[in-house]
Amino acid sequence: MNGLLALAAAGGCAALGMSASRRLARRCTLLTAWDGALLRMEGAVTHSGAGLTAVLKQGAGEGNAVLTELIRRMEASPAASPEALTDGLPWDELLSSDERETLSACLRGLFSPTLTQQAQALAAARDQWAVYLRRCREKREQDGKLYVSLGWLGGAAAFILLC
Amino acid sequence: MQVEVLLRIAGVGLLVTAICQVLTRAGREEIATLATVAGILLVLFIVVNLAGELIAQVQAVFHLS
Repeated sequence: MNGLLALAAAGGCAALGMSASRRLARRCTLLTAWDGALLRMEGAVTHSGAGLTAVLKQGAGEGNAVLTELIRRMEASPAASPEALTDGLPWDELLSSDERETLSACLRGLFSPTLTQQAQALAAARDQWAVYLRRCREKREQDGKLYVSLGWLGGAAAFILLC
Repeated sequence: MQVEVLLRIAGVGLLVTAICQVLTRAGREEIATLATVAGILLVLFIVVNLAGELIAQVQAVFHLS
């Protein structure tokens, strides 16, 4: 019985470590996807001068839930203000509050009357996003393996103590 | 039982050393220090328990109150 409990504790610790490492990797994947979305939207605004819905559809690509929801809201309420449309969007829980605020500000900037202002909003968001993405990748490099190692070592310690 | 306790203490010591090495190389010296202190407290806890059992047995053998 003690052995089973020790094994379960060891497995739990190892799983915790791997889960923490996987969370970092998922966060980097998410930030990279948003970087791609911002790039596509910037291309749509600066090179083709597309309308707002077309720009957002370019950014949404094959599955950006936030942009898809924003497009749905715009089609449902064409007269709504940018603040009302961008308030309460289904942000992924892996994004920090600063990152959500950067994206919200960028999306509100896309409602600007001129292409220049829209391009500026996107460029500013991309610059800031590059910093977030770099920090995320550095953290994944530094801490990903650390969490896995600590998980396994903690599991071994739990096994020794409980067995 | 005594050998098992010794092996357990040795295992905790080795693991704490390994954890400290991993944390130090990751630049988390303060957490490594905490891990060392936690390991020391854990071993002290085991040793104090054993010392308590020894004293109780001595008292029982010599009929001391």
